[in-house]
Amino acid sequence: MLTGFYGDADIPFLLGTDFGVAVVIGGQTIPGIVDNVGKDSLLSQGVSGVSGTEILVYVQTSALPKVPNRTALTVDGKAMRLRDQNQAGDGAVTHLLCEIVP
Amino acid sequence: MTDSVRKRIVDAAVALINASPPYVTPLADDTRMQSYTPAELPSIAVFEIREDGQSEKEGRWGYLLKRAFTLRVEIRVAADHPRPIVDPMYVWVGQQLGQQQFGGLAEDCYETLLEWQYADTDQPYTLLQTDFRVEYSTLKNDPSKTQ
Repeated sequence: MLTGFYGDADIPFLLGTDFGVAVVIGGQTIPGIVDNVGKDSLLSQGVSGVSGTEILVYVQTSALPKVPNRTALTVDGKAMRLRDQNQAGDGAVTHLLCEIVP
Repeated sequence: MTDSVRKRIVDAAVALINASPPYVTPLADDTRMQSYTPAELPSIAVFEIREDGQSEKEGRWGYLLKRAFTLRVEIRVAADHPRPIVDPMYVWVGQQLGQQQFGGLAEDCYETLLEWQYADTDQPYTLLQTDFRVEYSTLKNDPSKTQ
């Protein structure tokens, strides 16, 4: 696929091997890498917050369907909802911030 | 040594909040320092925030210190639409602490400030802080005695 990003054709291989999981979004299945990063929030006077987790999924920008935030998706078979989507670096990879629907 | 009047008021406030609340969970924590895991929510935590005092004089001399401290009640929930979950807890806390004299220890207790905070990480989280002003008096030379 021809895109404006240098090395874009290699990204599916990088995302799909070893750590890659299936991301189903907007009716398409694309490879992605998941990072779960602990993040405390709602602290009060520096204590007693909520120990949450930032769920980041790295996908290829050119493979990602155009979807609005709050779109439902599955990541490695888990149902989630898209909180935000931000391009990283030169824009070839997009970070999907996901949340579990309580 | 006798507990301070303020400590007895805070103990009583926590006990009142935990006295057969109409919701299933949670019980209120007293001054919880550790973070809550999502599985522990909803949660209620009670904190002392600040206190100010003023000499209460009767004629030239006064033996009493008129005090007012802020008692903060924090409610945390994980929910897409938090209001239906937070509101019953907020109402219960207000009913239990509003105009409360804590067995004669305090003169009055009323809400002064409510503040909401929101966070969205792996789930949407909401924090409601409700500040109560608790007015009471002690002897100037003994914070454990009201007279």
